[in-house]
Amino acid sequence: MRVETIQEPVEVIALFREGKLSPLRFRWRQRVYRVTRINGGWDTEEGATRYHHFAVMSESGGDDVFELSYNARAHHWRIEKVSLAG
Amino acid sequence: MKAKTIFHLDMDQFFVAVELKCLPHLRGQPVIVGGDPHGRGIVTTSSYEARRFGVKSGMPAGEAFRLCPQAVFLKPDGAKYVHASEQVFNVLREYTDRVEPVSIDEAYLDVTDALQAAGGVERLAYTIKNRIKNELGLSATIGAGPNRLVAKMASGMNKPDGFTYLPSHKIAGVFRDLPVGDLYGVGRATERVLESFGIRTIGRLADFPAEILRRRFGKWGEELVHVARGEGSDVVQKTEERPDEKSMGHEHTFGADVTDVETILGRLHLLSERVARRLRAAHMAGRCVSVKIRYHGFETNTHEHKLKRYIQHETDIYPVAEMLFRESYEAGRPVRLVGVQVCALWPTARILQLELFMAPENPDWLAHACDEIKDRFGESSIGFASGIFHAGAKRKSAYQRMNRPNMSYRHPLR
Repeated sequence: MRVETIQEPVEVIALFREGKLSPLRFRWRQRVYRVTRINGGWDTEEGATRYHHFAVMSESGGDDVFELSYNARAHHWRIEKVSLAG
Repeated sequence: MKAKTIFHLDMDQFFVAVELKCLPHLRGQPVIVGGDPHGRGIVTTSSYEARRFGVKSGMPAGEAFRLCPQAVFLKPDGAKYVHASEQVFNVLREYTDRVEPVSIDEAYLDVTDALQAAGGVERLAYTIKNRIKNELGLSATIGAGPNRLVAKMASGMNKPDGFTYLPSHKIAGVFRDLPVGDLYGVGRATERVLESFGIRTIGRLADFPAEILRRRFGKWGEELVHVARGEGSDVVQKTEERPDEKSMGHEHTFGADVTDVETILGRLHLLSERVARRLRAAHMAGRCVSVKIRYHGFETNTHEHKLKRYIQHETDIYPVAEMLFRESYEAGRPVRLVGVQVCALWPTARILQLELFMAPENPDWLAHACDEIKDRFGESSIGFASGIFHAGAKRKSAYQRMNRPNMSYRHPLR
């Protein structure tokens, strides 16, 4: 397994439902990834800013896992890293 | 008095399990969560696949790499584990309010009053285990018994993903032939002494005259016999019922051994800041400061200084820490780790204001202003310059945290 640190902004389509936030699709480097599975989620805080993190898998990404983060203060998404399977 | 039923819940390979949930393609592989295998960190948790190669928690990551070079090494991600732990504890508190956390992945539960509604000990244990598995994707082992000791022993008997119940009438039979080293609280040294008395099983210890052991071990000798008989406390304290912390401290292991005094003092300054902030957040103050120095080769010295008044600010803690360090440091010896601790704590509400703030220059406004900045922009957004320039700490500016391009700074004296 190889982990690549990315830390780039991404466009995300997400669902806010019943107090839960779920990323559905994201566009990164001109490619659209449909999220097929959210493996896990956790939160971090930097001062008063809360970040929601998601480890997701996508239709076109095989077994690769993307870590997305949502800045709940500035309302922007980033792709933090990619864990490449194999 | 009604007999109690206590659960001891132990999450299986917790940090690794949380990582495997996020990275499912690693399932079945040896996975190690811990420090850099080519650096100086230690193994925090390893998967069962890695344990087959002899990898254990607490061993240097480099040794783990030698034992199992094919393992996948992952850096610990505290926020991820804290979040998962909170989810587990939320499930536990749905069954009883008497949940006593032992660590991030371990807890005692007094389930006495929950048994009837749940349909018995076994059914309740499996209900909790299944919820943790199905809702959180993690596995837990539960031990059950009439007290904490038996529950703890039971949880260690059938791991991972197990359940063991030892009701009172079964304890003696199960414990009888177990090696005495399996008894909770008996380490290698105690085990060797017990063997010199001919005590090799827990059953033999349970029948041994307590008076003889008292002469060898003191009060602990007598307690050992009680422990071997499965006798122990059945009190499970809720978090809010637990006594206040008696000390607060922070430690830092350097990436490479350090001999430069200014670098070490810079780090002590940073550690003093962190301790002070925790003290203020908990509304506590202390009247004893101690400094720990671990040299190359793991020789560790701790020195403390008792004060005449209670303190809770870095401007009070650091000068004492610096004095202790300068008095005790053997110049030129490479230092691996330093730590600062404030002990003899007392709630500030019970300390006379006059005593707490009798410093010649009241640092209160400065500390609280810094606390507010840190609350808003993060722990490393502001601090004493010595912590940045001498400790080499990676302070990220608030500007950087807002995803702006990196700013650079120059040392004012260089």
